[in-house]
Amino acid sequence: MARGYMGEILNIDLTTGKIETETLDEKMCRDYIGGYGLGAKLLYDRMPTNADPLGPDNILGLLTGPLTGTPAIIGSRFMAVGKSPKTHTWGDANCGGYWGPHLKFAGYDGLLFKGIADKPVYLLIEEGEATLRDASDLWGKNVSELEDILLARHGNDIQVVSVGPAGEKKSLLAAIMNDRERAAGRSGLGAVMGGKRLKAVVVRGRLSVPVHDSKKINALRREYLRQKTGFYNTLHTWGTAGITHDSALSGDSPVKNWGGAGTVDFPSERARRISDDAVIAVQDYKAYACYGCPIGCGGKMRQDTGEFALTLNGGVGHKPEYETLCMAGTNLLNDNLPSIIKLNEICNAEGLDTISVGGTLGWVVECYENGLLSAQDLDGMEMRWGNARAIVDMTEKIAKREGVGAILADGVKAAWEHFDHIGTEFAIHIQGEELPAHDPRFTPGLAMTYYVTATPGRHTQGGELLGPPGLELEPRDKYTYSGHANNHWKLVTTMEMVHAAGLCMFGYLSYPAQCIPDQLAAVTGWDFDLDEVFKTGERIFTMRHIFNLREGHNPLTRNMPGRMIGAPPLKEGNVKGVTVDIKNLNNEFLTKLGWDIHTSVPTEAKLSELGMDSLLADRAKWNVPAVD
Amino acid sequence: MAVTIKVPALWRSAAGETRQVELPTGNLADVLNALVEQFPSLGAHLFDEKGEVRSAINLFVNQEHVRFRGGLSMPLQDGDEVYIVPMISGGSR
Repeated sequence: MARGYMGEILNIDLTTGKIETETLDEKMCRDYIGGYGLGAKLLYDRMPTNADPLGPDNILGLLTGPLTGTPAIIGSRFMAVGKSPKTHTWGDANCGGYWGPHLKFAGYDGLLFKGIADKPVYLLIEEGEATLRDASDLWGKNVSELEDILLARHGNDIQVVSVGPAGEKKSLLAAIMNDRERAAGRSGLGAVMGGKRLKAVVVRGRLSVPVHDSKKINALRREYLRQKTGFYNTLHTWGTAGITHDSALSGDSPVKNWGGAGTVDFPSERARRISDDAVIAVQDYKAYACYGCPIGCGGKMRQDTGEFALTLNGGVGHKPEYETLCMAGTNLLNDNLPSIIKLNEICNAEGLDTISVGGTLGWVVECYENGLLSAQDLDGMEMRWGNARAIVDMTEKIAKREGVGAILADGVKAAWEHFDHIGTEFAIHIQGEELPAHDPRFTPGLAMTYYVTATPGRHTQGGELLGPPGLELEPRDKYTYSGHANNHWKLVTTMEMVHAAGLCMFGYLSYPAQCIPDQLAAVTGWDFDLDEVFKTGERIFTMRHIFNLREGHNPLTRNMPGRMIGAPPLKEGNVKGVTVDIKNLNNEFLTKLGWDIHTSVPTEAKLSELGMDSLLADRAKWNVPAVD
Repeated sequence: MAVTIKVPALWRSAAGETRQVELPTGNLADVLNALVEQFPSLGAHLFDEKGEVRSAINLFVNQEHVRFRGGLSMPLQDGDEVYIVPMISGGSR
């Protein structure tokens, strides 16, 4: 077996309680690497078509990559995979912290859960030995309380992934949490985990991850650490909070539920209050770094007094990310930083995705402001732009599924359906996934990412906003809607490799692109260069898409929120007048991928080129609707 | 007669740790050149090898993007505020 892998995964049947060890197939690992890639292949092979995402046939995977837990920059990540109950198609999410490396130290590359337990359980893995334990006394605990109990029960050297009460209640906005305040937030996979009555996975181990060339990987780490560039300084100084002000001004951030302009509706003096220095000036600020990370973009801060005092962990909580600062701040015209820090605490403790919460609240506020929802509809709450108190209180209701929160807990699409389709233009989602805090009217290439990728509405899946230093791209004007396919392909395929290898996207943005193949080769012993990275990444991108094809899903049939592409265009701000020709962008990209531009089905030649001949026989069964 | 340049947080160390710089009026190109003359380290951040403003830099005058106001040749008035917004993007959850 190639190095970098522990060589085994566990299959856990929660219905029967059976746990089986499985040796990883080396060829499959070479073709799909790990993380999202290996997950897509395994779940495609093992799940039936049309499985209920909250039923026993859905498999929840928690997977690492071969670089997780090694000296690679930055080998900290684990990936969650499964059929999403939000979109009813492929779902995945990604998290740092320490759990991923420690799963490998405990002996395993990944865990696949099927079935549903008849009562709450947690999985305990200690030095390779796995047992399912009763979690009846843990059910209902928030993430922080849970970790306190588990640390006291099993020792300080464990790592925990868990769901909070939101996942237990199967909120489609539920996240899978790690280290109290790190989240695998998207695709509603927290609901899948909670729906299986799986409260937590606790790991402890002291194994080392085997490495092909230990001298080489350590030398590479030292060499690349000296080459910090790109996004490094921002992340090291402020974390992602460093861009909140600039993104509000430039048009990168959605403003006023995607209907406003930063320079008009959230100008500099307001945006400054929730950005960079203002964020790290909060009391007792200390940086937080995930496993092996030299950047340390996370942070903890104290807010134990005032209207929005934190109530957990002695009043200390995690610094909100840019996504949270924007979706609960800029996008809701809320410049009250303490309220956003409090919202972050609620979401972390209850296990909720802050992007989705913010996006859902955007619809609520805009409907309220336009008289489509009344205070009576909203349990007496005045959901106005910038009403920090109401924003926090409604988040609490969503977390507890209380009152109208019971509806909103399943996101903007469910809320729109429940309220008889009011405010359609205010519902900013694709296929149920609320859009994140980067506007394709500022970065048109993101429109392709949001619309075509297996998981819609995701800014971390590669695209023109987020490129690594040293990746050769052709110079292109972003507002000329042709000629971008080659660049987009490189960006998307390299990002797929990041998420398969177990690397952090922020390492990808801070260190030269060449470090991906160099580190993979040094750790696994396989030959890798950038061309091989592109090709393997394309295979993984295609495999995730094929999962959806088998479900009968053509991404070209997805809904398209007009505000995402400027239909109609904004009249003010830096991106006024912009309407993205997404059809032409998509057509060119699909042509580059070798996918039919009406059905999105890859050609036989493309499947063979990618070494996916085993799927040729399935191709005839992918019955998807065609578009014009 | 002066305009105020707002220095991006990330570039402050190259500008003597200052958040804003007051410079005489002129057109925008003149003002940017004067900024770099005062703080030479900012030159590499602002301009590429051809001496043009880097494509990842957004320039705003009084919070409106300069491309709507004539670009680098736009004349600046007393009291104008110039925001330099470098887009080195990101955001993650």
